Amino acid sequence: MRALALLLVALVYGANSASAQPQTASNPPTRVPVTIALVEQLPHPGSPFVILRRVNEAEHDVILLPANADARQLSLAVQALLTARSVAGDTAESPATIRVRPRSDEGRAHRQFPWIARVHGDLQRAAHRPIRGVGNARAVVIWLPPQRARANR
Amino acid sequence: MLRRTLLALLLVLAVLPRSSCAQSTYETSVAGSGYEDMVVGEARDVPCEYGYSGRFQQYYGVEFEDYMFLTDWISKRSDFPLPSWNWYYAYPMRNVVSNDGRARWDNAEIQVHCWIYRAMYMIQHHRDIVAAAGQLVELCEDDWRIDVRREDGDDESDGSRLGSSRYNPYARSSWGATEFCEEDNDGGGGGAGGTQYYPGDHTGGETVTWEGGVGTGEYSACGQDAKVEYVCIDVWVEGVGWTEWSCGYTTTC
Repeated sequence: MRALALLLVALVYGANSASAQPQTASNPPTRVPVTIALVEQLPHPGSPFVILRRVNEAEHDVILLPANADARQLSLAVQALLTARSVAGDTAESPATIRVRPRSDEGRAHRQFPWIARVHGDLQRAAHRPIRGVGNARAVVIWLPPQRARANR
Repeated sequence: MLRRTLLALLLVLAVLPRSSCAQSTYETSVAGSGYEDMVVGEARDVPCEYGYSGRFQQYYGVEFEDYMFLTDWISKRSDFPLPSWNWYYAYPMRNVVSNDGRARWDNAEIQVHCWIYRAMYMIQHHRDIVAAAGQLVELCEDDWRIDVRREDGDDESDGSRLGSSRYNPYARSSWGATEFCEEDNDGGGGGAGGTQYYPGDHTGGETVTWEGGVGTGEYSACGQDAKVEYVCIDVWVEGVGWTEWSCGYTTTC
């Protein structure tokens, strides 16, 4: 009888302890990733960089830059992706290869993101790795604030 | 009959859900507890402990104003034995950032009621949080400089805007729930919306509508550097080439 009572008490305590275990251990990221890759040759001419927006790939957004791209071009590419995300969503609904260009042919001085030099340096030193749909390339992943979430608030 | 009653009681206790709100209970045997004089069913206040670990209430910590905070607690009093109703302050940091990074509990304090209950074969030790004090601060992205530690160091971030040198592009999250404060700490901000902007205009931190270049009242990722530009997005069409998809206004840095 005592053993049964102790067993039941143990079951009560054990059940309560188990219910206190967390369902998840970490918070989901609040930013949206983008892979930046340096390639020997861009897939399509007519743009200093190309943005791949994919749906069925783990790396949804990929910025392709030529191997000799500088930090300024990288900054412009990131800015272009932010623009695309603000218009079409942080995740693309359909795959597309896009570029963003000023309507006017007149160039405008853009201030580089202060942190872009760091990313550019890391990109230059990154090891080659396979990227689906692209091939082997030096690549890094950075995280950008969501764009459409702000617009919808 | 008595055995059946006891068995039924124990079975009922086994299925009763334990409240997870501000209560902590653990059990010890009666023998050697120092409370052998207690009768079954008796409740008694006991001195509180000097400190508690962050998970003494729940695995995620202590709840304060709908946020969860994981921190250790130290008694505000150091004269022993401590009272049964005792106040504690957060330790080691008095200001604690919530588990999700969205809020900060300044001067975090809790009051704990310590008591025991003589059950049939065990002593139940209760540590109930009965009050809390402090101020809740909703965090914005620029609050990165608060010296707090998160259990999940993977999400450590400088939490700044894109146009700031403090922005960490490798961080998956920022400190705050929203990437941008409703009120711009740099003096600019979303604004009321409705202003018509043209390419080259500074918006003071406001985004513009894609179609018309009208201020949205939303906060731009570029902060005070936000400047209106008219751009086009082209898509590559196989066999055709670059095809204009849409043109509109945007803010760039």
